[in-house]
Amino acid sequence: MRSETGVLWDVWNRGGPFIGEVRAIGRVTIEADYRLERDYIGDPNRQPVRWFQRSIPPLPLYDHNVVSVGYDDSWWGTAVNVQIVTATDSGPRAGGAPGWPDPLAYWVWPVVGDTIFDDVPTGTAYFRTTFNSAATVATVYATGDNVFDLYIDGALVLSSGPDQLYGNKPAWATTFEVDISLTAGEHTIAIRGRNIAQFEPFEAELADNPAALIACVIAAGGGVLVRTDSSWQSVGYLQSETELPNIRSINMDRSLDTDAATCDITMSNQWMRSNTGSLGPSILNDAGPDPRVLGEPGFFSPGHGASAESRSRWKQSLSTWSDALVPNALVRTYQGYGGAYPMGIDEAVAAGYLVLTGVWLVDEVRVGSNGEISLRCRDMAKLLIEQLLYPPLVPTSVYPLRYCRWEHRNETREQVVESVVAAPPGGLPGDRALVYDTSANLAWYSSGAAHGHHPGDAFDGKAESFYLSVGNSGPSEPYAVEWVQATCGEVIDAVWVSPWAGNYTCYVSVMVDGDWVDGGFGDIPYSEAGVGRYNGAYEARIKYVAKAGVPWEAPVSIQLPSAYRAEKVRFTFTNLAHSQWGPYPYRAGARELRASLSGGEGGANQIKREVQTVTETVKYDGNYKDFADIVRDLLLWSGWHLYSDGATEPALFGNIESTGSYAEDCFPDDTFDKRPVIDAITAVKELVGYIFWVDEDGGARFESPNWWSPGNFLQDTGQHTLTVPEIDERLQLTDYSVSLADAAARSHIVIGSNDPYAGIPGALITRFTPSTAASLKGMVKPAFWPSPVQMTQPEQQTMGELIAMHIWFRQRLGSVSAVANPMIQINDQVRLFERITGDTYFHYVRGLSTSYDAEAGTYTMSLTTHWLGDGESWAVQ
Amino acid sequence: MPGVVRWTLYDPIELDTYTFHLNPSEGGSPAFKKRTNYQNTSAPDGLVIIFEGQDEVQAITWDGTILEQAHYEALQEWWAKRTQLLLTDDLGRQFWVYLQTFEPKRVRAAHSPWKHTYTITAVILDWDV
Repeated sequence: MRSETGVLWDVWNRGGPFIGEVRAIGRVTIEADYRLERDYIGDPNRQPVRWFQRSIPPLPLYDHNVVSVGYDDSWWGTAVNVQIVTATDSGPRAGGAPGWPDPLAYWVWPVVGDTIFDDVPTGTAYFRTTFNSAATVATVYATGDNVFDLYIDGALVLSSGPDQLYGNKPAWATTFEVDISLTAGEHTIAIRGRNIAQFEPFEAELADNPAALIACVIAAGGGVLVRTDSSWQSVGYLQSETELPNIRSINMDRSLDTDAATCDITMSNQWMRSNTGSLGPSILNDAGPDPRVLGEPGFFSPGHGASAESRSRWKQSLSTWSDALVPNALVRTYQGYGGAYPMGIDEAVAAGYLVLTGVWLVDEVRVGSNGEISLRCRDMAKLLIEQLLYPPLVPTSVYPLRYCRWEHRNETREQVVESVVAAPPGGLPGDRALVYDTSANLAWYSSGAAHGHHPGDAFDGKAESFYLSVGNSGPSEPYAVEWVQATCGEVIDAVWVSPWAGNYTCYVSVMVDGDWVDGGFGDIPYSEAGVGRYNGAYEARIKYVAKAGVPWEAPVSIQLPSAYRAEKVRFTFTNLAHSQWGPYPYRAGARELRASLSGGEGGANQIKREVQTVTETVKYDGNYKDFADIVRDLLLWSGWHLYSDGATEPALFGNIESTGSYAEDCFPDDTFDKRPVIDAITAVKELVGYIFWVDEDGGARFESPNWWSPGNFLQDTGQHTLTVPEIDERLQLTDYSVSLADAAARSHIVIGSNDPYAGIPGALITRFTPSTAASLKGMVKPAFWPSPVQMTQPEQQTMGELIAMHIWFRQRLGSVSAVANPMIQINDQVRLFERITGDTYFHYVRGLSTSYDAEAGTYTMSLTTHWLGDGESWAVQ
Repeated sequence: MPGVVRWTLYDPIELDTYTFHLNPSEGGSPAFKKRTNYQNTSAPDGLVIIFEGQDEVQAITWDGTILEQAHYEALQEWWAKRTQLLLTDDLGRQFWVYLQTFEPKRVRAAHSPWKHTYTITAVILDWDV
């Protein structure tokens, strides 16, 4: 949900009518110059890419006037004299291009931070100044590093055309010139320059490189009328975002069942020049196209005025719109109630009238003779569909891409080898073997691992690996009790605890003859307090024989009151430590847990130690610890880098929820190589039952579905709120239907590495009967889900339950038509009130379509929903 | 006739002005229309939702009389212009208009064979204040 308060909610909650100052409004901006930018920060193997650059607010309305006579450039800075043309360095600007006529002209560029001008970002810069002239013929000279378009009095007179990226003669090595006729008086010269990278097709293409521009106008008599220098006004690296006028309709469709949302925008392809000059040049003194034609039909058509024939036949001319509506231009839609022109979009958003409803890439521009242009767009997920996991998207250093939780290396080292020697009666001092048995983590995660740290790591003899408990919201909450347990089978009278973090209270429990020994202290204190799970097989309230404090990252020995032939030993921790992980950061951890016998008790074995050189396979962390790490990598390469100056680690634009799980073995190579990015994300998503989509801001969202309890999550902060929008039959709801269908129902679900009937030895199979099986009345309609990675049987069971849940939701779908509310998103919950169906329940929004018609003023939405129940009967238990 | 302020049409391209021989007899003020659409909520006792769209394009219509061939041809010529024209009425109001229809209807008159009544409809592009 976008927010839980604001003007849009106030307007929407009151129902109709939507008229006057709060009538439905849809506005659209476009960035034709958008391009992916590769960033070089952090790990050189992880070159993230960003698709957006939003540090500067959008230009004022109709910024195509930036080159026109009346444009207000007073807010610009001045250009910088990068280098005079007579300089003799060896760079591309040395001495100017051959035939350059004016040695006093400067190469100029706008200030870009403290950048050296041999190393500036790719992007667009603008330059403007005025000059006076008598009526004369003059010659305009210009060139640029890399390309430019030059306008005199708003008319395009000289252009470099596209740079010759790999040819022999780039634009900056050519002097471009054109003869023009000037009337007497003041003239405006405006230049749009663009720095593009030009050397390598891949890696260096997006890198910084030299940039500058030079121009002069020389009268027929030889006098220089104007030349580039630091007196020019200049601005650069604006987000070249322009509002699209003439919007007629905006229709969009979002769903969790499609890889990308779609948006269709229709606009009128006509430009009306006003007589008053309030929106542009007056018809009375406009030197533009044929004044005998009403307006300028086809003004926004791609390539409008590009051909000589169109210029002579219809007096069309090039404008900045001629190359604006093109495939892969970036479009933003803003919708809401109120906030019409002339209010600026930023102003309308700040006032709460409008909200960003989508960031889109144009797939197709369709221009019709009926005077309409339609833009068919997909959201930024297009980057995931169109881009393949292949260099340079995948850095060559990690190609071909392979993801493994563990890396197994053969290592030779000296090792103390222990062998057990039967002890004589009376025993001898020494360590006693502990073998991991179980832990409280299993009550939460079937693998037992928390953020990649398994409870067994406390008994593996390695200080670098450690057991980590699940998280708690506080260090000493009544349910903040975590335990790990080992089998022993030997006599012990002391334990040794080497903590990860520390300052814990540690309880030691010993099992003898099947019972926990009562040390006379009662049970370990624990209360479920509504959120705990440690009962039954995971019961935390057991007897203990010793209790001690454990310091921070320092081992401690705990002497037991007696020697015990311990079948099992349990270590229970309270007063938990604050960790770096998760929304519930308080956890316990232990690097090593051991038991020992200090002597005297019979039956113990002696451990004999020898130093040997051994070669063994050592397990190290691989290139991911959580499935979410993989998704994060893929998104950063695909464009979701949230860039920040000075950052040393790439941040991600969006929200990636950790899964707490991983696969023991590596993903098969064909999971990733040469496949669309979205396929790889989908493979990971299905493993953990998560959902993935791109939200209205363009952020990537990899999260668990919001169906576990009533409420919503606010997009900006991620905070949970109990606010659930109500769609009321008396206020906003115009139509509602509910359907019950068995199309998705399955008689049983089979999860496995292979077909269970293929007779493949070693195949691990789990069969699960979903609750929807009953609706099939005995029909056999199985679902087989081949796991791309090796899974344990409990993990397969969990996966079966998740699939069953998705199937269950599919059998009862709601279809809601209502007044549009752009604050509602997919993955939100809404509550419906409709008397015919008797619906008063919470629903989960799986799909959302909106339709906006500017002429009619209608703005409606259709939701596809799953039934969730209400406070007394919730669908997901 | 002294004191009569004639209507005029001005062509900003040709810098030409047409002064009406006879002022229109009827009409001449634009209509003001908002565009609204209605939807019913699903409840019998629910609100009616009113959406307001863009205002309807303003049009101005006037009726008049033609007495002579020159009057007739002048109006036909001005209707044929495919550009916006500045209309000034006898009240001094000015509108930038685009002439849409010119519908003459012949009227029998013994001494005026070219006598017609006519109706002109024009779309208002802008008000010139």
